[in-house]
Amino acid sequence: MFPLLSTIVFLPLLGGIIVLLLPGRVTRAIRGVALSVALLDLLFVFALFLVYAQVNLAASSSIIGASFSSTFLTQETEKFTLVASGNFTLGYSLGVDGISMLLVALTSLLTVVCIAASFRVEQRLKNYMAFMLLLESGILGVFLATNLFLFYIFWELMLIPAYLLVGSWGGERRIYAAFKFVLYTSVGSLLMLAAIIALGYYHQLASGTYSLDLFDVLNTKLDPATQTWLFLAMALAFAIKVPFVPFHSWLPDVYSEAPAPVTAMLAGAMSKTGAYGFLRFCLPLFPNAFQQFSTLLSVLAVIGILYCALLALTQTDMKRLLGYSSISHLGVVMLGMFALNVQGVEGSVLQMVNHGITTAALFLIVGLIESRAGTRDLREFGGMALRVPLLAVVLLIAVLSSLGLPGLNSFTGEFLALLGIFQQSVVLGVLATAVVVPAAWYLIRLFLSVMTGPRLAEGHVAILLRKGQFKDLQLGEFVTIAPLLALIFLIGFQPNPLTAVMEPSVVNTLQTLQHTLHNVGSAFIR
Amino acid sequence: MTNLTEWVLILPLLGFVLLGLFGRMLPRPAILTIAWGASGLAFLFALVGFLSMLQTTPDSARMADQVIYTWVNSGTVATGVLTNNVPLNINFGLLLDPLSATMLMVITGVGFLIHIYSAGYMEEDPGFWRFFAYMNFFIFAMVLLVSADNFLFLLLGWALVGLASFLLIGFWFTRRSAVAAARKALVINIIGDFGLMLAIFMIFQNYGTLNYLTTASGNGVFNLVTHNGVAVGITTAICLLLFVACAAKSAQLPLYMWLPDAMEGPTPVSALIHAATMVTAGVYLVARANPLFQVSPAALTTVAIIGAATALFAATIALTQLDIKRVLAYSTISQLGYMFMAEGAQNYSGGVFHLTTHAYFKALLFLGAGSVIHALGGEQDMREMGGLRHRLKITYWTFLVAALAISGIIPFAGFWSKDDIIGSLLARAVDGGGVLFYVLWGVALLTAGLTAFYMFRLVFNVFFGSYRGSGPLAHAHGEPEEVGEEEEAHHAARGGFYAIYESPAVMTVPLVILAVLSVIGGLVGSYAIFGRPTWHLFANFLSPIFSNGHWTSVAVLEAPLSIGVGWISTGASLALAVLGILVAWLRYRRGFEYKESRNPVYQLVLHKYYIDELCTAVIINPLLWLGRTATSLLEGGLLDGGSRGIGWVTRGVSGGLRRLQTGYMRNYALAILFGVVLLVIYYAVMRG
Repeated sequence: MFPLLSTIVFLPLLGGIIVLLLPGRVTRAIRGVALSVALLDLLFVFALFLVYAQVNLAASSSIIGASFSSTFLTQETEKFTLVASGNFTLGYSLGVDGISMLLVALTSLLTVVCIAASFRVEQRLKNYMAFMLLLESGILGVFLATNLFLFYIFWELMLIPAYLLVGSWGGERRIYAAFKFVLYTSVGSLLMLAAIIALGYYHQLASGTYSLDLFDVLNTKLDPATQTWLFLAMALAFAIKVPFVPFHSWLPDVYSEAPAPVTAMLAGAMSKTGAYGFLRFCLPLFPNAFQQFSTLLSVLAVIGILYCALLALTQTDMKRLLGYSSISHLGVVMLGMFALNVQGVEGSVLQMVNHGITTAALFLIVGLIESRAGTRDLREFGGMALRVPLLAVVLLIAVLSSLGLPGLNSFTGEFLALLGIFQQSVVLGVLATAVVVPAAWYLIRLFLSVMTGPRLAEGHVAILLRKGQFKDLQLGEFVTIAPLLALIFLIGFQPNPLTAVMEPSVVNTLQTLQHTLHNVGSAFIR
Repeated sequence: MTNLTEWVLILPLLGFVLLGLFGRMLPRPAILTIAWGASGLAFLFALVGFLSMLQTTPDSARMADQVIYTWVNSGTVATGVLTNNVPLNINFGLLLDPLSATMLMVITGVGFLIHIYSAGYMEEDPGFWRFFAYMNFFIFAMVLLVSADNFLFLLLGWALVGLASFLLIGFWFTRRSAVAAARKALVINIIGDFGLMLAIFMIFQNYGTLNYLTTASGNGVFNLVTHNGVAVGITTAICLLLFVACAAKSAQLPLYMWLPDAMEGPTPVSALIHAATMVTAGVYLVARANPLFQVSPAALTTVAIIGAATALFAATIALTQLDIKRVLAYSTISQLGYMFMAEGAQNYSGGVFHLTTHAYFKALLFLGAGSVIHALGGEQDMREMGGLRHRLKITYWTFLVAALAISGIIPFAGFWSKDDIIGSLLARAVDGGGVLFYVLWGVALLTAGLTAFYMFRLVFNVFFGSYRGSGPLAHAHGEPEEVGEEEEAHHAARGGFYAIYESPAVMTVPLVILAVLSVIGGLVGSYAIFGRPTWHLFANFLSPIFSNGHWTSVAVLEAPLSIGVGWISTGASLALAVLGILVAWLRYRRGFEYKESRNPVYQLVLHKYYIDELCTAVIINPLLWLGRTATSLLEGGLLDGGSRGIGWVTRGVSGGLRRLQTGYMRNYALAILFGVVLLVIYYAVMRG
């Protein structure tokens, strides 16, 4: 069989290497190769989607409730042992299920969009494009790895290009931002590595073989105390990546310093790896701990949601405002997951996709404004809609999507996630839902302060406007973000196709939890 | 029964899409063809549905629930697998029944008239196409709101009308005041959406569905509601949350502040959205959710009290306002209070009846005011008006009809619906409602008197006496962007009284049609005071919603009203209305001499009880202060400082190892190194 998953993961890596081999002068070729590789990868993902739908949706009635792995699409050709010695193995295995399918699709789409949006980059274009493709490989690997060892490799792999992209192509304080980013994430990664190693060890105690394959490790029932510390170690890594308040301090700096397409990639795709880690690994591997900590983490999530909304109200830097907004919205994603019911978890996954689309669109549009004006300070703008009506329209669409306007994409995920948490805890549900008010306030403030008000009379932007150098949205720019805008409307119109794809996987994931919790005390190791 | 609701919905949407995409390039006749065509055909289709419903018997057959597509299924396949699973199934469906048919008639009918009128009013505006695109979008959203067959799509319509309102209030987006008003309207409306969302969560949690009515596709909430089902406390909470949404949308206390500011939008918008249709969505929702409210007496009482308080409160503010549109805005808030009072007294059909008559005469008042403003080139201050009845004859006569209607003078439309409401309050009081309903009745009567007074204060000040202004302003409405220095000079040259001309026919014809409706629109009301209690076409048409088993399992019982008591109520309200007009005539018939009173009570009312200032000081400023403080203290100091601290520690620990690395990405490489070292050590140990 054709190793479709491996192709999807490694094609961008290969493409990146090809780009690096090209001479730096042939910028057109570099752009062309990079975009073609990303598009080709998207095409493969589309093929995967068809295959997945055919295999799994057709058999959905027999899959649901069968076992955790039953909704996964895996191939024997994509599962082999890297290191084997005695009863010690380190393996390679990839697999896709309904949840990762959607996130893979999101990542490959965002890569295409962000690479297209980066055509204006002039400095060291070759390296930039190569790192973007490498970043895609890393993120896709994280979503598709079904072996913890492999997962860790990809987890670290995506950090290198992210670090370099922020540190080399960012704004004035890029070095500081990149350094902070790496510091935070590597602290988390180290603890996660320790937890992964320990997990294999416990598996060996139970079964006699050392394996880090997810489906093997899942069979090992850990006692609650062990679960707790392993959970905490892994959760910290994921919590920093999401990020959870109070581990979010790296984010506003990184998002505001990185070039817009990179921020779109980080906020749109990479931030989902943290939330995905919780759902894919923490939940089925440490069900008792997950259950035990879900209340505490829900409370943290709600605090984060409201706290970051409050901060966003007063930001004057557009990208910082969107950064805090992003943390606040991801809080809803996490909250839905901790609801541990179908609506909550589906809302959570749906919202990961929607947040990716909307946040990427917002950052890209703000990037367009910033690149024209040379500033992202809200106070220097005003009344732009007269001059740049198309830019105003696309910004309004993205803003409305982000504030959760019913009928657009974000509402669908937020609605399900909040409905889920409301069934668990009315207080948390009410508090989290209350964020719609400040969210509307700060997001509409962003739109209104840039686009409306009296025509600018003085200042740098006014001069640009008078000289006609502040151009409206160009056709190429529109084509770049058009897929995101289309999805904003389509998913808002009918989210059902997405929930239908993920539903068997979500149900089976939750069932693992239920199954394990019912058997508390029967088959624990230690 | 012919059901064309989907076309009523789709046509305005199509109009919006066409105008939104191509409007900029189209000539005005093409824009009007699309906009008028979409809203006119929508009205036609709504009319066909309405007429065919009239011919359908029995009552229970007057319902059509079409499911169009599945919006989302969540947890529907998990039944039997997960123990705590409650399947969620939401379809997009359209419900046509007497209530939604009535609302559709009002929305598309008044909407169409205002579309016609706008062609004249907005003629010189550079945003002509944009205006009609938004207007069509609004009609679409409002149709969705009233014909959704479940709470989720109600929320969708609810939010989209809010968006349309936001876009139209901020239509002249280069004006700071318009932008501020639009933002305020949006944020307060989102508070309402928040209430509605919570209500939806609670409904799903307690009833397991979001559909209104039981159909082939599943159970409906209203058929599941029973007096001894879900705990009364929970139902009360649901109803109060729904009412938060109603209060925000229908500008009731304490969420009314956005509506007066919303007058920053073009006047046809004020007429359509902020008087006739959108702001009545709350009245519609309470009527629609009547089974829930029926189960919770506490919620009904709250609705009645808030309605009464708002009616009186807003009427007092209207007494002192000087801006012609603001008087009408407060009047709208006050009249909406009446509708909620009726619903609180379980006279839902009375509330909806007043909704329809109010749509005629209040739209007429706003369009009349718009005609005055148009003739004066954008002047809205009553101190600059007077004597206009000689120059604006059609506007004057139609405005007078509307003023008589809103004052409740027999036989104008407002009389029938207002009398219905005031009578039902007294009936509820006599029927065991106690002191509360006597008080509410008194408030309703008092407000009726105040209403007549402030309306005729307006009529006399604008149309009687002598002209106090200096002639029409040129192009004052329109985007300030276009107002160059030449036009500024143009302003100075004002033509005086004889430069004021009546508006064109495209504007006056809708005025006349609405005036006719304001005269005869109430005749479908109750003839109980004439000894014919069963003659009430309107209530009879709507009654299935409140009593038929297909719509509700907790039927509404109307309190009986004896003829004698009815006469007392009607007599009192008529007497007070006449008194109000009389006082206004005595005071203002010769024209308006404005002197600002130093009286503290007057000052308090003039400044709208300082509520806006209070909100800014108590809610908004502290929140912003908190945000700024957290940004500088927590984010800048503590967290950033903390991460620098971690950085120092890490550097200390890694001091030795770091020297192994040279170059740019040393810290990162360190992390990887650590990882690999750990792996290798572990690998070695395990093998050994």
